[in-house]
Amino acid sequence: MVKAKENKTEVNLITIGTGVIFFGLWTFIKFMLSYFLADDRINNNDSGVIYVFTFVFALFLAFLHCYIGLSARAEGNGKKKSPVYIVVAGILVFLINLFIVIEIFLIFTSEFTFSLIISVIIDTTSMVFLVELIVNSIKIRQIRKQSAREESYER
Amino acid sequence: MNADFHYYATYCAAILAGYSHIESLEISYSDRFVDLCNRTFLDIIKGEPAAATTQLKLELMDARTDIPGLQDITRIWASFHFLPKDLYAEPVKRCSRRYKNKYRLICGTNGELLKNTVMLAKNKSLQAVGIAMHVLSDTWAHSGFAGTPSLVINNPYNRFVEIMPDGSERRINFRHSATQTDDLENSIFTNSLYSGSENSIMNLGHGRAGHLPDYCFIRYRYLPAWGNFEDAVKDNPSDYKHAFCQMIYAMKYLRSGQGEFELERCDFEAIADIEADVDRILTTRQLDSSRDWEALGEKLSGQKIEPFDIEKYQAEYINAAKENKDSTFLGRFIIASLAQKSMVTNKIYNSGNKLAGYSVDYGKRGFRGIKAYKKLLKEGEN
Repeated sequence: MVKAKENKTEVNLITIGTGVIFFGLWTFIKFMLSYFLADDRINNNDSGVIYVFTFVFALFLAFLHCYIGLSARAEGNGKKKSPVYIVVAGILVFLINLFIVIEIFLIFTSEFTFSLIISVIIDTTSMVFLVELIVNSIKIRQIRKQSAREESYER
Repeated sequence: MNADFHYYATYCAAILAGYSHIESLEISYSDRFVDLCNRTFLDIIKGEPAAATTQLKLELMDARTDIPGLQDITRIWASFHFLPKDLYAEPVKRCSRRYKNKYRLICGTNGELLKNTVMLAKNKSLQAVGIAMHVLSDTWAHSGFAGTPSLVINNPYNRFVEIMPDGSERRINFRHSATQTDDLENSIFTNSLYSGSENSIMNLGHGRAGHLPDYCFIRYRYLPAWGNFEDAVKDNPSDYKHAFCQMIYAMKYLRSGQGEFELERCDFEAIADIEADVDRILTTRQLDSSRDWEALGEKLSGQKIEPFDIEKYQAEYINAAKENKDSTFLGRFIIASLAQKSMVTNKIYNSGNKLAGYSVDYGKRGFRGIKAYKKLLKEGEN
């Protein structure tokens, strides 16, 4: 029974980890598209700086997603991982929440309503993935601790 | 199972069951032939296409996966290679009717259909015995997989671990290569491509597990798609030994023609003198054990076992007059395969499962349906 739970949680971690990596790719594309679509409203003097900043920030977010996703996959495959990626996932959840709030605000104040609605939906999904990842990561550690305890009792 | 077991091991089992050398050759030839009797071959000899007991990879690539196409595929594979264990099994969790029907086609040992298969061969031709032995031995090798294309049943999680003879474990890696052989040294095996479509041919049988179920030496642990995340352990050396001994018992029963075939019964005593040889063959790490089984068979019978030749009986069938075709070797094989397919399809249909298509009890309702099966009525009358 415990082994079945462990298997299920590990499989979940691998699936969710893969999903988080793909959402990292989405985040990068979203930021870059936002820059290029808003190009005509950016002052030409500042456009270079804004471009670099957007690019670096988007890359950083994508990198974070990849780090979290790959760590989750490694944990799901039985490797021991430090809990740092869980903390990073928690920070990312907070950040995405912030993005969602900003996007909801912009829905009512800007003219890009439709694309922002799509963005909100996808960001919410991404956040759900990260929350699931955190939950499953904590669960797998608890299950493994429990298994180790049971094994030591048997000995 | 591979050719080594279906031909040479069956020959050994037949000799131990008391059949003569010639009879054993006919039985083992029929056993092996189940893996080769496809529609292309039947077209060449102008035999009944409905008697096909397998499908070539190319035939599968061209096969339709609409409802009739899936039923056609299921009829062949469930009847000869993935005999369902329990047509009335209930999955642990609540599920749809569609899932339940597929779950009920999972192959397993010592099911009621196995008894029906062996009893069907009682007092019939040696070809029927050979087909029954193929079906019997495949229930041991292919247990846990279903003879219908299904992602949710046949696509295990990618968590295969080989259990080595010293008890250590090694992760199994899969690759997709039509040309490279399996690498036993590094546990790298070939499997079918992943396809997310439920009814894709890639999800037929044990394709997603590669040839692992067909190697007699391997022990492995994996996570079946249908098992509620419980690990499944396959101990092929033990399973193959059980298959071998159950074949001996089954053939002794069929030779005697008396009484009823009992499930869960294997004749281990018959191999008491050669157990060490059998264990050695089943645990030797090699892709093909034909030479070893052949040597054992020749030791048991004192006769030379001729290599399998698919063309051996072709001329006899092609040249025979129409009214005499059924009494040739291939003619008898065709009748036996039609009977087996008809029986299994009928049982699946009567259990309320239409995955193998419709079936008519022609004994009760008179003949209707596929013309080829009229032969069975004639056989029954004879």
